[in-house]
Amino acid sequence: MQQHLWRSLQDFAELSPSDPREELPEPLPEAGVSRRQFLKLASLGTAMAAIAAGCRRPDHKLVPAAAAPEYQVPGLPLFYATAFQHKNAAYGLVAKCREGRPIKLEGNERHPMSLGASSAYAQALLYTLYDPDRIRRVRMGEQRSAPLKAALQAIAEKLQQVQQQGKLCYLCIEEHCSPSYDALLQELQRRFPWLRVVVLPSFLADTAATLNAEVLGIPAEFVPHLGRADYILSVEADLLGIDRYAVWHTHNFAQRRRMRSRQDTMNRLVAVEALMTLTGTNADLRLRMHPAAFEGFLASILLELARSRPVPEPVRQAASRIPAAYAEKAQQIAQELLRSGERAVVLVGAHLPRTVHALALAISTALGSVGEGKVLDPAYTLPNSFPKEPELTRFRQDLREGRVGALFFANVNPEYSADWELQRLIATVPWRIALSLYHDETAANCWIHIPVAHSLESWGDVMAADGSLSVQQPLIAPLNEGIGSVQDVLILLAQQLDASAFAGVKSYYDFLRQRWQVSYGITDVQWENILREGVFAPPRRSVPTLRFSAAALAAAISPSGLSREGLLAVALPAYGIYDGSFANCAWLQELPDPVSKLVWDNVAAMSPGTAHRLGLATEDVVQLRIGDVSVKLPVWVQPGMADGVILTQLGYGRREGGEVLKGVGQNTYPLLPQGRLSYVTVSLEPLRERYLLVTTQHHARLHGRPIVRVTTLAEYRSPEGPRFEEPKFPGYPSLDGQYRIPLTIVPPYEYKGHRWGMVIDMNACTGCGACIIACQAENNIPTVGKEEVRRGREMHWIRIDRYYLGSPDAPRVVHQPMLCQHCENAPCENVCPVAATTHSPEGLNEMTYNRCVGTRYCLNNCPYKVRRFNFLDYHTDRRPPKEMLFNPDVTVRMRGVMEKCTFCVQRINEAKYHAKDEGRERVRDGEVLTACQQACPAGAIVFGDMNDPQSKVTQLRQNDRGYHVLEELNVRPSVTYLAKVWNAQPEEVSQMRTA
Amino acid sequence: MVAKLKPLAVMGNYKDPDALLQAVVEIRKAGYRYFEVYTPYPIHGLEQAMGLRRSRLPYISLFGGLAGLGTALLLQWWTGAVDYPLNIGGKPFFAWEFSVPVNFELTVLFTAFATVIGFLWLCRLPRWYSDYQHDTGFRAATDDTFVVSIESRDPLFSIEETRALLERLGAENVRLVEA
Amino acid sequence: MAQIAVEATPRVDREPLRESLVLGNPTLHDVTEKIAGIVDRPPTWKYWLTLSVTGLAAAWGIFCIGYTIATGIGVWGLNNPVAWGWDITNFVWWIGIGHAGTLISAILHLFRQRWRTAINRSAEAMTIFAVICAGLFPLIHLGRPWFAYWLLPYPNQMYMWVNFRSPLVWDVFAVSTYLTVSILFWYLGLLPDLATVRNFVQRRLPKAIYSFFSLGWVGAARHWQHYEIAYLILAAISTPLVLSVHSVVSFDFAVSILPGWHTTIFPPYFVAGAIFSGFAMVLTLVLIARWVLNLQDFITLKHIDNMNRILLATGMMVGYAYAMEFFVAMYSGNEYERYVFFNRAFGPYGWAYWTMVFCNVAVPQLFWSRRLRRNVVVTFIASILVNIGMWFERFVIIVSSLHHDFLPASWGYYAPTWVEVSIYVGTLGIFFTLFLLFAKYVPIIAISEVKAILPRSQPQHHVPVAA
Repeated sequence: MQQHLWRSLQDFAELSPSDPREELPEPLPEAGVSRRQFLKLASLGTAMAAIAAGCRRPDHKLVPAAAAPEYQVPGLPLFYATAFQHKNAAYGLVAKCREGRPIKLEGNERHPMSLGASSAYAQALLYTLYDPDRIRRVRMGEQRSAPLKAALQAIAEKLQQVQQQGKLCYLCIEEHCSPSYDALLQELQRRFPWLRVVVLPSFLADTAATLNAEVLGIPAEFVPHLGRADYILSVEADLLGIDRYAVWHTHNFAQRRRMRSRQDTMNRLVAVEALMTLTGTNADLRLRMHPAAFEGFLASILLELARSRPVPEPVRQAASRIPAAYAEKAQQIAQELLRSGERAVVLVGAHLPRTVHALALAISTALGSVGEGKVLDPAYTLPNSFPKEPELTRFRQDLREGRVGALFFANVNPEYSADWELQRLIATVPWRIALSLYHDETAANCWIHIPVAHSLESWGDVMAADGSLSVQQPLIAPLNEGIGSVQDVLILLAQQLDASAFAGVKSYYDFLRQRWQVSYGITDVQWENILREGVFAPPRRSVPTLRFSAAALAAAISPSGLSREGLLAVALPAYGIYDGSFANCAWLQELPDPVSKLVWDNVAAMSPGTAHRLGLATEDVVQLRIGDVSVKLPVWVQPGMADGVILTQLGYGRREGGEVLKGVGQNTYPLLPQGRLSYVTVSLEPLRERYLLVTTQHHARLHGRPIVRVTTLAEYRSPEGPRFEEPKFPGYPSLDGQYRIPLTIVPPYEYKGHRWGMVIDMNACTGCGACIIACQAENNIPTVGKEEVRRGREMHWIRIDRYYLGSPDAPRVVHQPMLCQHCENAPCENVCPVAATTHSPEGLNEMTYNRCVGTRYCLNNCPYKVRRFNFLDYHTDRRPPKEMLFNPDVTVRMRGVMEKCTFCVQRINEAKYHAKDEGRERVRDGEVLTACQQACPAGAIVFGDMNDPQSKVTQLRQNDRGYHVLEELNVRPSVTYLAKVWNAQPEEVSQMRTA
Repeated sequence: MVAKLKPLAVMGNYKDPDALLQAVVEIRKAGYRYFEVYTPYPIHGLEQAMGLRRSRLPYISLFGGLAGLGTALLLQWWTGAVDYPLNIGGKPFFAWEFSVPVNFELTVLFTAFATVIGFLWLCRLPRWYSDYQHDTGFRAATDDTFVVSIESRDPLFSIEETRALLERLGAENVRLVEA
Repeated sequence: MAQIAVEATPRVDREPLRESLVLGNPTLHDVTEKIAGIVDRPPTWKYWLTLSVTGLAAAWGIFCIGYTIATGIGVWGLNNPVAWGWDITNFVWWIGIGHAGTLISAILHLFRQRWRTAINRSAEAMTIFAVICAGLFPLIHLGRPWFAYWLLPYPNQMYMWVNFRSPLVWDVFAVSTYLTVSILFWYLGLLPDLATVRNFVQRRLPKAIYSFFSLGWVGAARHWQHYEIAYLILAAISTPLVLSVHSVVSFDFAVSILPGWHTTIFPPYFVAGAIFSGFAMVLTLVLIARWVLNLQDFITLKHIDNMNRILLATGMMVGYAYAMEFFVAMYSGNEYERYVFFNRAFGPYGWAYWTMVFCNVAVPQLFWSRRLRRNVVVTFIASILVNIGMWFERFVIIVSSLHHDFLPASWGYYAPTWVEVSIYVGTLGIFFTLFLLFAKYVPIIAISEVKAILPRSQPQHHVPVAA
């Protein structure tokens, strides 16, 4: 019956629509089908739906044609290009949609700054989209759910009053990089002269931009092109960490370190820092230095470069302030810089004083690395990174003088992040309106809160650092009862105020589309294309010409005033939740800090020396005080930091705006003077309290175990090759996987067809953690919360092990991604009593969730401890629309079941289905990308078929840096690691062997 | 109802194991075949004195053991290598090495069952009713007395002579048990 | 020929040369009176007191088991590196305790060690109850205990079979076999005594019950003949069984890949440990029973002395095993092994390790002295200490090996929660409750066997029993 039910459309048409058989879901295979075939089918995920496409037709027919999404085939994904703006950094994304909802975001390969990769933030965008804590209805005064129309009318009335009183209305917007948004705002200001727009960043970091404006005549921040740099001197510039373009930087940086052969060249990264930044942990040479010494250090480098040529006096003075200990190093580095010439660059952290920026700029200019086609290229600047201070001062001024009658907050949260003075001033404004996703601190203090649409729900455009444009396509209708984006609401409001405004513009989309037509001359056909491609390179925008002013530069160099006395503290955006705008994303809250591995908290990190001097230990609570503001923080002893410095993270201690963020960490914004990122001298007072801190890694030492292999470039190139510490075991295998003595009494299993394997290049990996979140998003991995992480029950399928080599004061750091190694002789499989974990014919170590009874024996017997057990039911938050976040191709595991990395088996099966559909025997190399691989900005992860001699994986496995972790156990892992190579002098890595 | 009571056996009690043994020897000499001795604990040498054959129980146990071993091997080989072979840790689908523990356990288990069931069968137990159970002297056999009973189905049985024999052999409380 | 025998040997009436196994020189009837009497008489206040305490503990434990199953294993302290903790520790501990029972009745029976008769019955009972408590843990420690039956090879809709390579499956077979055989062995031994009690008690209900369970045993010579063979065979198969069971349990660890677990010494080491802990527990129990039920005449100082000798011997065996583990780790040159053993003694769990060494190696040395061997108080305390020490041995093996294994990045620490502790106490409660019920309603001493070894209970002209 079934067979002919779906044979052809004709048979199909004969069935009356009322035939109940149509509604029947596709029946499971008869019991006649062997268990194995059934497992195969069931695990085929999307493929199954497709194989059974015919059978699915009735379901499809039940969807009213009118509402059926275009091209939509249930069970098959659709991909749409869209964009993500991380503040004023732009990334192109590709969204994977199933049954009309986005389920996964990936970087857009065509986008110049994403290049197919994505950051943890981009991944987390999906979480915020489906966040049940998002507000659905407009709040007006006490009225919990007011119609938008009514709210707009009310606002309009008030604005007219404000106007009549001759007062101003300010629109506070976040940092963004959308040209059309700018255009819209200009239009608004033109039409309503009493309206002023101010960019209200959660923290101010425009030192570089200001300097560039004065010295080079470019009122913007450079986005350095690391791909062009052979030598990078980073002074606490966390380009690979919290930098907004970290994805692009990581890509360019790793590009130069992949070492396919011994002849390859690699760049050299020297980090000079007091803090322990992610960039610092990846440095070939890391100099631990007190911030007060930076200027002296750079100045003496500058002197060294200048040789006999005259140097402005302030530089000499600065140079004289260099601590003797560093003088020699400064000279060495100066020499190295000279050798690399214009391919060398000095980069400075945004939080550092103007002088340091000036000196760095001076050095870079001297080296000739500033200019078109150079590392610091005027063609690569951060949009809207113009100096913000003037505007803000004017804003404060107007507030102070009571000239402001109404305030709009568009996706900004000053009530949380602004300094107390600004907060007090804001409170004086009678009419405050918030436009934001969450009912956050600011919204709570506003008269009206309009829940605007999420960026994945609304149209928009973004401009990348290189000037290329992308369109932000909505992927789903707004979940907040259809209210549009900030821009939509503003347009509606404008039309409310003045019927003639924005004639013929129904929504922001019309405005956007018209503007693109006008400014870029985009026809509908081209538009279609841009939407498909996701990127549009406009006629090359006029690159501002550099007008170098030595005088201005010299003027900028003056004593920074940072002193070695007392404690210096700095608060920087957190690696996980950035400035707090991601605070309600449990994924990012539980993403371990790549350096400290802390989760769910911010801390006062200090060096072991400082802690010892102050008699403090990790988890002691201290109070940091500047002037009359103070912050309570738990102490974290962080190896590698300079003495006398405290690092803490922003974004924590939120009070309003969701369930997740409540009671997590402390608000450290009060530590920012006037909201500016910078070092401040604080007084520290220990409190008689302790506070529980939770990390995902308790031991950082290698105990001399050959788990991580490191070498130096010189050593690696030397004829006798690298001296990796090899395991002291008999029969230890050589790199081709051939064992010197047979270690098995049974013949090895034959893998015909595919045999999946992975290569992880530890020299490329920077430990950023994008893979962790990508994996979490792809595989429906739950977050467990601080208490469960404390118990050691985090569920991440891929983790990044961070090891400290050498002394605790100035350790070298190695990041090692660790995931299921899919061992050929998997120890976990042998011990499972119910055969719930078995080996697939393609070499995958498979976990059959619905067969697992939860003995946890496999976990005990896993040498890598990469299996994860559902000790409790971790999917407890079932508030809609959270369930839409789940990937329909991946089972949601229940309590009491073991789980682990599957090599994204659902993706493998999808690819196999496509191959089958196109009549191919095998899946093409690169056709399957695991989630971690696809996200990785460094391209450190390569996955493929080891049975295919041509595949990238097979090639890389031959690389002489390759090794298997714990290969001496003869478990024969399918994951090959490529040893880390440091571009450093032997004496610089002397401690590394004493791991 | 008044039914004619049917004689079952003549019984006599002993307190001393040696006397018992001698008596049993004598009774056999007298040519009795259907007689039984009830004791509170096993008396050494009694079965020789009564001339009983060795128990067949060990063969039953042996059979049980072999059955267990066979079952174990068959189960592990068929499920692992025939019905649903799975690549588990790259190990063979079946190997005698990993089958040893289960082989052993099932052998023991089946042996034990065979032994106990065999024992009950050989003793024709359980039997919750005994013809003699109302005889107090007989019940003492589980306490401190050795009871000799010569059954009426023995061809030589005659109430008087048997009674006399037992009395001659020094049995106490010689009596006829009827039902 | 029997005649000749009768002539040949004159009757001798003399006390046995060696120390008597039953004091007070009772008659056969006295034995019945004394032991069957326990069953007949109403319980004393001592009995009710102990029973209520243990019953309460059992109830609390069962409640906590329910709580665990309802909420998930997460209510225990287990975590990623340490996925087994108190659960499996208790499992191995209880199984170990079980072993002395079988050993005393089976092996000592084969060796014709007649002093066993005083204790073998309670020892066998202990085995059964201990194995019941042990079996509880593998069931409730599962993530999804309601699917525990998936560990049995039965045809099912999933077409799935169990994985016979897994030591856990071996466990299932070993433990269930062990429990079954122990029950059969115990019950077979009980048959004649149940009959005795049947004929002893007067009240109707008890009589009915005992008649039912005694299966109509009348003590016929033909029955005794089969009985003795059956008993012998069961004893003969129980002996290798008891050795195999703990070997299989030790495979859970020995077969794994973990340093500190992957050790060939484990099977003998575990068996020795099992006997050690088992005898300690038997001592604890019989000393309590001796006190509660006034059995001084049947459980004599000689019995206690003998068992203490075994404690001393097995204690030294485990001591040897501890030393040998370290030597092997050192000699292997395997850095992981070396680290694990160093960490075992001097790491975060060092305290547990040294408790173990003190209780299992130091304490038994007391029993070199005959005086201490025969001192009831000392013996009692020592037996408790050994129980504790053996519990820690399992804890040390399981947890200290797991918490620091191969990759330092994945290392962790484990501490139990109140739930785990409660469940453990609960099983102690279950165990003692069952034992008390047994002691009251089942002949706690093998009546027929004791009778058989009384002076002059056997024909004298055969080899005299007591000479």
